[in-house]
Amino acid sequence: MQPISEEEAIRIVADPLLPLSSFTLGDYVDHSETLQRLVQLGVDLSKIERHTDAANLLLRLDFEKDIKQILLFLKDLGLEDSHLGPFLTKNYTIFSEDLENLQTRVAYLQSKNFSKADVAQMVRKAPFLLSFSVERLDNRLGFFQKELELSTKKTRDLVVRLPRLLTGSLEPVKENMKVYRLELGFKQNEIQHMVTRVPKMLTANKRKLTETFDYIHNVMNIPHHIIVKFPQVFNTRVFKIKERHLFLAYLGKAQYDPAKPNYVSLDKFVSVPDEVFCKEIAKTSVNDFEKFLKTL
Amino acid sequence: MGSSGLARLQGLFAVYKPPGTKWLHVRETVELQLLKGLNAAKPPAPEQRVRFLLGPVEGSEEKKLTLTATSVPTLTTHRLVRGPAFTSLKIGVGHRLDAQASGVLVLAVGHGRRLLTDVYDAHLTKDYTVRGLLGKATDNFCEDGRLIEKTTYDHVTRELLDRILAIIQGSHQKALVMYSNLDLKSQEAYEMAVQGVIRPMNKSPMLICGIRCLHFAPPEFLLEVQCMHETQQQLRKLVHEIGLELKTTAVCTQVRRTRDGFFRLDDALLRTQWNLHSIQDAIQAAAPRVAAELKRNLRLRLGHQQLPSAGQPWGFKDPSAAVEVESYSGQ
Repeated sequence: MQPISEEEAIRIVADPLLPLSSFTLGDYVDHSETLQRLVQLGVDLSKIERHTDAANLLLRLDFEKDIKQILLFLKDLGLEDSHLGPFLTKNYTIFSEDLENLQTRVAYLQSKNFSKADVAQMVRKAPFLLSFSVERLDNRLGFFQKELELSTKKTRDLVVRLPRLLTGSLEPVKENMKVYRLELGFKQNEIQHMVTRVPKMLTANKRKLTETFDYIHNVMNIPHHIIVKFPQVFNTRVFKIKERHLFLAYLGKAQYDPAKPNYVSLDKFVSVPDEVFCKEIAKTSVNDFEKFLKTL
Repeated sequence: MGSSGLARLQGLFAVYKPPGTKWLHVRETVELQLLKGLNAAKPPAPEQRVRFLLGPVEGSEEKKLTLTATSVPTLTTHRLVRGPAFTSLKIGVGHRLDAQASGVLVLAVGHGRRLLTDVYDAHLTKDYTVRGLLGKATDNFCEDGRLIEKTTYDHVTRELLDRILAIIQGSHQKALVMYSNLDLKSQEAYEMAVQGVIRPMNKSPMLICGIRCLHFAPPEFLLEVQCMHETQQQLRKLVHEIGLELKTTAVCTQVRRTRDGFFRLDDALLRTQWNLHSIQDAIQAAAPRVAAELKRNLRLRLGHQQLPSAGQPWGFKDPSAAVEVESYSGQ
């Protein structure tokens, strides 16, 4: 061992070694520029590290070479800075896609007459959209157009409102269409009307759907043609409908037929908050509603 | 912040369980809402760590470098790196309610879970309102079960019903005294009987302390039942048996618990109130009453144990457990 001078001694950097393997990215975040910049963007590393091999992928990326191009591409698409964080938390595999593939897919969507703002909204709400090949996107758009027998413009509006129809599984949608047609007894044009108003009906839980319809049709005695006018009832929790209906029945105000007086329209019945419901429709106070709920 | 939020979340509170939901589902929903409230608190200021960095020496003209200790912000404790602060909460459940019943359900959070055993050992009574329907009999004593029999009920009058209920209460009164294992000749037992606090302090079958008819409009009738060691299905069977005694049949349409020990309907929180602040306020409001009742019941239980037994030994509690309860009641 040879003696060294003070200046040389100070210049030796002897930080403790990074752990060779770890189960969390927190051990590496202080030593990696990439990870620090991702956290500043708003990416949730604690969610990504739960997927196997995702953390290894992120650690090996370099911010300047790989990530920056994709981020600039996403910003060109129209995604705001605040949306980048949640997007990347869901779809971190976009970093391993080729830039040309992504651009081809965007070009395909624009060729189908989706506007730039539409594409930005779709990508924001369904982060996995750009990871689907052109062929797959084409098949799915075709499926929805054929199944629902809608015009191209209406299919476009539907998909822009709920883009996860394109990225999710198609089996629940087929099941729900059969339920509406055969079990609940709606006609095709009625289903079309309801789905364009409330697209979430296509991916709703089958059991909850039948429970809601059973209560509304058999207990509240509301016929099909009125349910078609207010498809929001399929989007609310069953207990809310039951509580409010029982309260109105107790007060004697449960009238859902538009022809008769004291008519209560289903959209107000279902979507207004409790205070407005008690004041406008039931014409009582919230305290009375709470006391009634404790007698159920 | 988070620590003070959790500090105020220790104790017992009551929740109104709606009909048609399982008690486990209610407990999990309350847990989710509490976690949401706790994680929404402002995150603490970012932590710093100390690193030794090279920097020039102050007050010297030459370019000399030295190591200086500097605080550098670190991201290891950032919420996006470590995850949410709270991922699970342990919530205990008091006397359970089955899926079709509704009413007051006692839940315990944090240190309050230890009080649940003491509440159970206090053997307090519970109040129920039970609705019955004359003229039908089903296999599970509820309205939606398989129909077995249909009968007429024109001969049933209010007086007949009251008489039957009085007979039931009388027979259960005898059972109450028998299961409480008291020597009836002693002075303490006489005083307790005068106050009306004779009840069994260990395991026993369902006992009815009081039953009366609140409302009778055939075919419907409404009963108020005070009981202990019951299950809701036994209460439905009771309605069925009342129907049989009346020489007709009856099914039970609603079982609703209005009081569980010292938690009443007013203390129970509705679904819209299952959030952090309401639950913290409910715990604080109930805490003094819980402490007072547990202290009173401890004295009663010790009183029971000191009386000479007439035969069987009760479940013995060793004195260390009694001291433990005393310290919690004093909080």
